[in-house]
Amino acid sequence: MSDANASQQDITSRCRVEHCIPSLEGENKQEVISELIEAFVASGAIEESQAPELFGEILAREEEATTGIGKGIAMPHARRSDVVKETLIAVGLHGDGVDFDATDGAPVHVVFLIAAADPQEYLPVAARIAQIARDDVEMKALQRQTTPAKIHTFLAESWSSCGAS
Amino acid sequence: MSESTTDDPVVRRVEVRNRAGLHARPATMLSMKAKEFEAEVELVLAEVPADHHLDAGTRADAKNSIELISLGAPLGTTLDIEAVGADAAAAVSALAELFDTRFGLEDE
Repeated sequence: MSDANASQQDITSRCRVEHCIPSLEGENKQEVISELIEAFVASGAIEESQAPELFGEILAREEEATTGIGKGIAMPHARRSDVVKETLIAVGLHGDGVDFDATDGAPVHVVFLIAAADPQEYLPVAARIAQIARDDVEMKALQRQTTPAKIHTFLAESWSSCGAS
Repeated sequence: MSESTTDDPVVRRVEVRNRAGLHARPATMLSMKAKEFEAEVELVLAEVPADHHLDAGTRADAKNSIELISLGAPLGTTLDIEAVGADAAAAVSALAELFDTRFGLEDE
């Protein structure tokens, strides 16, 4: 990432519109993570046969410590997955909220799933997501997006507006 | 709890020494530790890599793990821990110890 523009394009391209889910249906963290991984399968980003391995990697991380980082946000992830060729992001919204064993005990309404191909890529991707997630107004606005395309456009514009260093 | 006698912040410079940087787990450990104190505590980027997405001087509330993750601080980044309040010195020491011990994440 040589400059803010490259970084901005990079993060947006890693979060395809097919990987944005406006209404997650899972009733627990395992089901929600599975739904988001299914989006990678449906888009062809990963093979169906690879889904269980990625699921296992992300669940193993959750068992070490929850990624429910508070304020209704969770960031389940695999920092180095052999399953993905390039780092992928999926975003899901959960209207009712789902229990994620979050650090503040609050139900999670927004899930950013990161499957990183390289641990060096994970940190900046997580940071760019957290730049949006730290803004309560942005997060409320994100939760009002009702289609994959609207979520994708919203995130692209948010990243663009905070892309300048 | 007695009032602080001064508004001058207690400041200590620390370095990210764990290989994976300030990702979700160390950020959560820092925020939970910071919440043990009354003091207001912030982390401020001091020296960052040339291609970093944020400038030196960017601040994050140490009690908010999301803000800490947003700093995206990789190995070698230096930050200033700044605290104001009656137990500011103890808060700074406790957080600095987490950095100094690599958050106990020896495999990183």
